[in-house]
Amino acid sequence: MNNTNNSVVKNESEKEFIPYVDISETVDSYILNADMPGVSKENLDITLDNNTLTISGKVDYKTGDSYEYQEFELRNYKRSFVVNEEMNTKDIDAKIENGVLTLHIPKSEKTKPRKIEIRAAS
Amino acid sequence: MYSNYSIFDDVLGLKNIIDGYFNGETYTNTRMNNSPLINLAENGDHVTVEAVTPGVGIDDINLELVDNTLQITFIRTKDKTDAKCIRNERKFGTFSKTIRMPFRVDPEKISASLKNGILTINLEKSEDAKPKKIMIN
Repeated sequence: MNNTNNSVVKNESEKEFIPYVDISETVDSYILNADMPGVSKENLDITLDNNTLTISGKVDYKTGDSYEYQEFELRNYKRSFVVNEEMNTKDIDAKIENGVLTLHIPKSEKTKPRKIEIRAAS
Repeated sequence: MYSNYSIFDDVLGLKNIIDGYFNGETYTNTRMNNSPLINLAENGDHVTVEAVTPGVGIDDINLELVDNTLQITFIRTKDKTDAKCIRNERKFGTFSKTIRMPFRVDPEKISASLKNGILTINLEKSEDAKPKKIMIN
């Protein structure tokens, strides 16, 4: 799972933010958590094109016109990852709660650990 | 007073800011590690404070008004297991920030809402901070 965001520097207004992501691996799946504050379920878009998984989110939070004091701004998010044959991309499960996206990517059958049966010698 | 200030830290900090800009970082705060980022808007008698709080539920946020400072404290619990880690970019733990209000606010008229990881607090100027016309007999 490599980050494939090699886009050239865009205009200030159309530049998307790269969400912060944690990826962890368990025995039978990969879990991806992404912080996307301001994105609701309806404005989230997850696409899989060939072996590129792209998560993008539109911020639907209406910010004020001017701030007396400003530390952050909200912009749309976009980030792409490369998936490989180890992942069962058909059964990806996604949910978003409190601005945190959780993707559950099961491993494909052939990479899951399996027990080898021992036949009794007859 | 003891201080470990070094001017080179500021120079390196500038490098981080520039690097962060080109990497499209969302809401880093290099100096204050565990405080949420906030925006403050003032509109007449109203003040709106917005804070970025991804992954935090209503029950985990504690808001306090002390005199005319607003304290936001919340605990972000880890939503992942300590399984084999491939990428680790998010921060967890206790976050807090104290914001001084531009005027005395009415403690009865504070409302807060949490939506999609963004906390919005609306505050209103208290009656005794508003200008009063004094009648001359």
